[in-house]
Amino acid sequence: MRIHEYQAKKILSEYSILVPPGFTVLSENELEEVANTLGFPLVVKAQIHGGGRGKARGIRIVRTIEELRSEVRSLLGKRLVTSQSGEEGKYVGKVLVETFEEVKEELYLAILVDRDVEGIRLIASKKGGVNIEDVFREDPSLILTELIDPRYGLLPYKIRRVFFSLGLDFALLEPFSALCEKLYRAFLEKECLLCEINPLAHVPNKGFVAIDAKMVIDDNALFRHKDLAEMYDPTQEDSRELNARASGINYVRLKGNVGCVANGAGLAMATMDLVRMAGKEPANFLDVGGGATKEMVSYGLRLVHSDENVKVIFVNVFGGILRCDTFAMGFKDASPHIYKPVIMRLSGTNAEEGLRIVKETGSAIIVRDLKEALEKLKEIKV
Amino acid sequence: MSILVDETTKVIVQGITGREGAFHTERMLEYGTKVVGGVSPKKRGQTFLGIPIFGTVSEAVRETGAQASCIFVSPMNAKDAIIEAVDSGIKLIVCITEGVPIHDMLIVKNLIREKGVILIGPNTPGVISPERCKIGVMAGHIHKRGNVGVISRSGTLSYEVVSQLTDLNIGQSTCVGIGGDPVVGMRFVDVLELFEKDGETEFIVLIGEIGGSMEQEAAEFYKKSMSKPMCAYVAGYGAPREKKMGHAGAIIMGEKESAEAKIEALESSGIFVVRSLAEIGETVKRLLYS
Repeated sequence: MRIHEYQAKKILSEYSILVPPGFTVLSENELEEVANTLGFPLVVKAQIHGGGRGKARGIRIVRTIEELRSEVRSLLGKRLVTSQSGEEGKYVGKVLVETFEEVKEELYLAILVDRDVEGIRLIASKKGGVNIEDVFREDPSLILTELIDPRYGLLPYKIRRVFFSLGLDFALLEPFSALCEKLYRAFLEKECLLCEINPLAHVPNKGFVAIDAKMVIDDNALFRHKDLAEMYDPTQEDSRELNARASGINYVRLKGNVGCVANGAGLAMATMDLVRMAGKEPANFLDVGGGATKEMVSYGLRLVHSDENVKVIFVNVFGGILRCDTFAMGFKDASPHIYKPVIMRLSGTNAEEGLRIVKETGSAIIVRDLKEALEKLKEIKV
Repeated sequence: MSILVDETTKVIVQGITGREGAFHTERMLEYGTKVVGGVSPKKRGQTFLGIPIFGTVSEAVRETGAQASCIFVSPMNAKDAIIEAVDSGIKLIVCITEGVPIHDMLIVKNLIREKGVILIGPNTPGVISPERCKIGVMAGHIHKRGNVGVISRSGTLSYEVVSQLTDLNIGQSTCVGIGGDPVVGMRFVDVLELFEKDGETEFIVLIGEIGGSMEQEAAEFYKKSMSKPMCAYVAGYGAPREKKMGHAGAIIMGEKESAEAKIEALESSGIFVVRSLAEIGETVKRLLYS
């Protein structure tokens, strides 16, 4: 689960990591008080999930109350389109107004779960303030990483290794070590997949300051972090995806016009692959789940059908724990609402009974196997 | 022969009296799996389908001599259940549970590596050596004994592939679902190593998907250390970045984690990559008998 910058900074400050003084603003009325408390210059930052805010003018420096008002007005309640947001953009429900820190050098510091080595990785770079993947592509030697064994924790020598390669003044070793230890504690206690400070700055007379912060929390761990679960912001997601999740269905909206319905995550992905093999583009990923009821099936079908981009629906079900007859009953319930063509492949447990029920509705093109499905997908005009 | 499990494997079920645990214990028994005991602290001393229920895994191991355990506990109890199994001398652990926190898995994985215990999953349908032993939740009847080894990160895709194989009268030596989570016990390479040594396995089908780099690891291992023919399929071609596709582990965070990058790695190691799910069975048939 992503959380907003202001939420991540709140968590970091609970671990006594310095962040610029600031306030989260929900309306223009609060601006005068914020400006009086903080003084200028200030930085205005749109709170959305996802990067690319800087280039999309989602981060602006202001020097007067008029500028502050007009910049906040132009962001708050609007949708911000960034290189990562998709063309519909992300809703800006909150704006973070902070003291603008003049920084000479921007560093990068992160702790993340590295699934490939099945451990925790500390990453630092003296080239912060930009996308770390770009830095890595251009010059991997600028990125320093150390693996942390979760049983031993973040040992001081690992921090020293990273520190000396950053080329910082030796006097900063102690505050840098303290920062890394605090960040590691936050990472562990909040069960993060990623804690990233980018850029990280060293401000004279203050110390290390997290100018920006990103945190991703493990969804699977939210059951033991009620406070974090409450940070979830539904405005940052597609409303269809939200509704689907509430009904226990895995759904991701994509750009094409062939709607997909399958059972099981792997089969749902492979169903999209088949659509692409046929020279078409999938409109969505949809996994009704292994334990789906006929109500969930019916809901999933109607959800896909209601997408205005969808011209045809491809159903690909391999019955197992979800039996084909259960699926077919769900289809039957949804069929009065379905007028777009449906290509249907039902195989596995109770396939015969399922196909009989689907045939009765008369509203699907039934295919015997995936090969025939592929042929039909190639033929059909969308 | 087969890998991991066979007709002699004695299995206990942790969480035997839960809804899932009870249902699938019955299916495993029907299939012929030697389920010799269950663990359920509150039902200690009772029996389930004639099987004794114990309060702890160590008690179950002492009384039954079980070597393997199938875990059906809730996500919050999975770490404890796996470590209890390791601590009680279980050598093969299959964790079906979906939704185990990743920080728990980091600790578990470091432990099992050190102890040399085999863990399959979590978030897996389990492992089956057809007509001999199944530990998990897959439908037994779609499988058939034979000489193709199947490894998959996805449950439903392994069912799909297995049934294509069985329909073509091609049997399987062992099918291993390694699980759909980012951090799992056995990785592709661990299973490949066993298949390479197994006398019964003549051909291997690997089913990968977006996220992580286990497919690249498998490609490298294949090139260096394997002689058996193999084909692969990778799900999620053209999937968007930073979007979880159902499985916790099916998410592209970096360029190398896309299906395209994985396919390229597999092909450059000389592994035939099947692009269409519809053609996996026939591809195996063609390659196996050529």
